[in-house]
Formats: sequence, C-alpha cells, structure tokens
Amino acid sequence: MEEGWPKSGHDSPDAFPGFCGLTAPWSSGMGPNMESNLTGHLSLVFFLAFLLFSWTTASIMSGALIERVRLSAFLLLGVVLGSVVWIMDAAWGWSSGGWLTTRYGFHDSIASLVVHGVAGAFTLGVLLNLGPRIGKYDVLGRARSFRPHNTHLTLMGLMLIFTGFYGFYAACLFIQSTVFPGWLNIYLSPTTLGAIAMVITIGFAGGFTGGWFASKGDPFWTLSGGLAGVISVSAGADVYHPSLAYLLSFSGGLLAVWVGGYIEKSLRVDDAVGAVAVHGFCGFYGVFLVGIFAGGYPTGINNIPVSFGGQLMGMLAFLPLAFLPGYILSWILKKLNLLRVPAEVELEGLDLAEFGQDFYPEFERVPEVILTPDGEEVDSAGILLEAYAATNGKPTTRVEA
Amino acid sequence: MWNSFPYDEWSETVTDFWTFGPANSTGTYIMTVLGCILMVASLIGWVWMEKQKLERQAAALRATGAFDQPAAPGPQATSSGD
Repeated sequence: MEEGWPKSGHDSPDAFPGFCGLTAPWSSGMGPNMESNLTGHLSLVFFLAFLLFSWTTASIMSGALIERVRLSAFLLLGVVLGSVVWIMDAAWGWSSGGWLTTRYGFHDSIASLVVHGVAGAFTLGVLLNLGPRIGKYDVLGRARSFRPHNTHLTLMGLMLIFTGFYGFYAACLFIQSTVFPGWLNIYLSPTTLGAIAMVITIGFAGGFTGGWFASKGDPFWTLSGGLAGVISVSAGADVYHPSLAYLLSFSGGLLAVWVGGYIEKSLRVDDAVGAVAVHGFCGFYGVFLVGIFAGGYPTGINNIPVSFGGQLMGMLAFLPLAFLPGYILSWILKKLNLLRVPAEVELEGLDLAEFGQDFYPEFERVPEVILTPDGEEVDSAGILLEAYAATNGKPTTRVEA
Repeated sequence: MWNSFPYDEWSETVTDFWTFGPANSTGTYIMTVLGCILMVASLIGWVWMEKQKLERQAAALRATGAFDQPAAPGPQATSSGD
C-alpha cells in the first residue's frame, strides 16, 4: 500500500528525534571521544564544522548592523543565533534524523536556508528594532547612499568570502571512503565533490551576471550578486546540473539586487550590506527552487522524495524560528538601552569609543556639512542629532517641506 | 624540592582530572561548569564595561559643544537680517 504524505513513522537515529539529537552540543556525538581515535576525531571535526557554521550565521548578521549596534549587543544576539537558532534549525532540517527530513523530505543540502536564510530572517528582526544609521534617510524619508571608504578592500573582502565558500561547501559533506562515490551530503545521500565544486563555480558566474545587469554595473552589488547566486543554488547543489545552476543563480543575483533596493527604499530598513536580501531572501529562494527543480529526488536515509510542499513546510517552520528570537531579543535590549550606541558616539564613529583609537589615521577627519536654504554651510552633526532625536530613530517619519 | 612531588603516585589521578582522556571524569564536569560560568560572567561584564565606555565618550563629546544646534539650520530657518 502506498504510504501517505507526509511519510511519517520512520525511526530517527537522533537521541531526541526532531529536536536537537546529534547536533546538540551535549550530544555524545559532538564532544571529543578519545576512547576511539577514529570516531573521536570525526566527532570533534563534526562539532567544529557546526561551530564554523554558527559563526557564519553571526557573521552574516554583523554587516547589516554595523556602525550603530553595540558590540556587546551583537555578541548576545550572535550567541542566540549561533548557539540556539542555528542548532535548532539544523536539527530540524539539516540532519538525517530531523523531522523535516524524515517526514517531508526537506532538502537543503549545502545550507541555503538553514544557514543563510535563517541568519537573514533573524537579522531582519533585529534591524526593525535597531533602526537606521543616523543620516541614512533624509527628512522626506529618502534613502541616502553611504559609500565605503575603500571600495577595493570591500570587494576584496567579498572575494575572500568566495574562496571560503569552497571550504564551506566541502565542510557540508561527509566522507564514506568504503562506498562509491565516497561523498555523502548531510542527509547521508550520495553526492560527489565535483558536483558541488561545479555548482558553486557556475553559481558565482550566474550570480555575477544577474547582479551586474540588475545593478547596472555597480561593483558592490555585482559581487554580492555572485554570493546571492551561490546561495540560491546551494540547497540543490548536490543534484543540480551545472547549466541549471547557471540559470537559477542568474535569477538569484537579479532578485537579490531588486529585493535589496526594496528593503532599503520602500521598507526603509537600513541593512548596511544587503545581508537580508543576499542571504535571507536568497536562502529561502534556494529552498523554494529545489521544490520545483529537484522534485521527486530522494532525500536522506529514508529516501523521502523532495516535494514543493515539503520545501514550503521547511520555509514556514524556519521563518518564525529565526525571525521571532531576533526581534524579541533585540526588543528587550532596546528597552534596556543596550542595543544601540549613543547618538553622539555614532556620529563620531564607533572606533574611538569602543577601541580607543582611530583605525584610519591616514584619512583626515572632515566633518560633514549641510547646505542651508540661504546658502550657508553648517556642520551637520547638530542637525542630524536633533533630527534623530525628533523622529526617535524611526525612518518612516515624513516631514512636509 | 621538585623531586618531592609524588608524580608516579598521582599521575593518573591528575591526568584524569585535567585532561579529556578518560571521558566523563569528575574533572571534566567541574571544568565544564566553571567554563560556562566564566562565559556568562564575561558576557555580563562585556555589556557593563561597554556601557561605561560609551556613556563616558558620549558625555565627553557633548561637553565639547560639537553637537550643539547651529544658529540657522534646516528649511524652517529664517535669516535675522531680513
């Protein structure tokens, strides 16, 4: 008799099926176990890989919050995101025994949603409470562009991320040396190192192309488009044909630029590096695409077929799992006045207050000036500070000129 | 003096306590708990210390007068000479 959907009733290898299981820090599978040299080392490497991904989630959030968040607030948010939210979502949908995998065939092999999408949704919740940087929106609510002080280094940083992505992809695989082809994805389904290496490379190419067109050649968004492209195809990187990956990542690069503009200009959420669009949106988009283009592909040790409904179930589970903790914790920190630096410190720049030194001594500190209607140039600091206080940091306040 | 340390007698006990060689030893649990306490205390200390630094810097900046409102700002400003 054909088993119905969802396909429940399979035994889970996890200690606590569907909850934390083997991915929990206190699990016997995670800590060093020197009784057996081989398994002990494998367990420790497994733990460190998950630790790396927990740092990744926090690093995704970091760029969005810069220039106004307190370092301690970021640290607390990072602990919750990396140690609670990420561990929970990995146990649910990035584990051979997670309930989304064993029941719905949820497929997110190289972590589009479970790392990037979840970090982006958490970040969005934080940004709503954090508010925009002072001066990001003018008195009519129009977005102003904050240029990087060194575009070369900004782009070089993005390229370093690309290099790291190859390691990230490889860290998402298991090695089973005794069985051909030797590599398994996180759901213990066979894959190859060549497949993911090809998809990541082609994913960058497609993302660059899409990002370049959508941003009309903006260098930051072109390279961010490459990142968006890879994230859009990561969920199915173990099964996609590279040609398909190129087409899908092209669309991901396009959409990331458009979504980034919508978030900045229409929603008036100040995401300093476009993390919500590139990681958050494309993370969800990547899982969505697997439901369409890899539907029917068997996932996990129970061979549950990928389905659009199963992918949607994962998206619906992870959106509140990520967004609500970010929103609630940042709301509490905001109420305690521990989320954001004082406005005066923000205008001066955080380095002097936080670290006691100017990190860019080669640049002369020139105060920003504002041109008044009668043509006089005045120091902008006082005006920006008063405007910020008058609107309570809300970017949506419109003042009729 | 140094030779008086009973290493041969205590070595296994000391090793059991301080290293993770034998899993689930008493020392492992004690050090894990101490590490967790230190981590939480560090977080609280970080929040407190940063709060002090930021408030001190903000007060110093206000005292310089750099953020005082200029005389004729914004679209509502009128020229006193007219």
